[in-house]
Amino acid sequence: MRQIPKLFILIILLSACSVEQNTDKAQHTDLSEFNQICIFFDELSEQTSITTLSGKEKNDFIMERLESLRPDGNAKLAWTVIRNFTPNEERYSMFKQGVESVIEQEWNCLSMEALAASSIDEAGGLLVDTQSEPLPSNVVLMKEAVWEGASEKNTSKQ
Amino acid sequence: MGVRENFNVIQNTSGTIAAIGLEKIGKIAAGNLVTPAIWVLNTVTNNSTPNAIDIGIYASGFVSAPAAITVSTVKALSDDSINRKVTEIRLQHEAKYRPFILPVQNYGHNAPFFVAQDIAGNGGTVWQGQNHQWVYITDARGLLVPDFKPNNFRQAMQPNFPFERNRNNKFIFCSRTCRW
Repeated sequence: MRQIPKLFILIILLSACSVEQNTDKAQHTDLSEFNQICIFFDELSEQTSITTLSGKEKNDFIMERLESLRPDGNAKLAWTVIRNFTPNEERYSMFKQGVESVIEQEWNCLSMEALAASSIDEAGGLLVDTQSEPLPSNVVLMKEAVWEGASEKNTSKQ
Repeated sequence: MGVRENFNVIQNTSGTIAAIGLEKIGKIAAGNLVTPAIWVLNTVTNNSTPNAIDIGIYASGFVSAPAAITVSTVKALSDDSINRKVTEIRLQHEAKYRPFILPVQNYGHNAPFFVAQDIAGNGGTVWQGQNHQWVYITDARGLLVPDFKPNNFRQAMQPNFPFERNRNNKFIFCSRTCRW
């Protein structure tokens, strides 16, 4: 019975190792999916019609394949959000920066580097005239923002 | 200061100790998480050891309890680190903005860099302090602010002006090329 405290501490230490292993496993899963997106770009670059594909067609090619990734994983979110980044020429470097922040090692994808900037839906952009058109309900400009009358906020995803 | 900086760890620990107290006076049933702590406490303080009933109660949670303690402690340490860094960033901004500067971990559970981009795409301003923590700002009503100008950042992102939205209804956002 006197060994129980020691045993308990041992299990705590083993659990700490397990937490570390789970982190490594999550990183490995993320890396696998980031590499999978790179493979999608490899496939795109090997299309015989690649020189004639429009930005929308290239974007659709990638987006269709993204559906095979985990819906709540970092990789799918990474490409989904980077589609809204400007300028297009910096998309790859932003994606690469994000990947490397997750996997904590250098990451490269030559096909994505070559195609990320042009894989966009050119017809997608819609100018929002803030004079005549209201912003979305979850957004407010500085001049209309309220900075008093509430304690610390913890907003969740809209 | 030490208490504030380690609040989550202290809370996590004191919560367990409080549970021990409750259990000892019979207010709640013995729990997997609490029981081994009592054994350790009793052995150290009273030199007493658990009996067969204690072991029976504990048996089902023998593996899960230490794991839960470890996971919650790691989480508490991480939260304290984030809170410290957010406080550092808040202090570099006007007092009226400070309560509304929040860690991106409040917004989403993915990697902070991607959550930051998600926030910018949804119309918010996000920035990474010199301490590498990503934060965003809302007004007092919890609304994202697309044209806030942060101070002393490593990197920042916000909707590109004039505002433009994609077909997916997300804002086109910028970083280096924004008008900071």
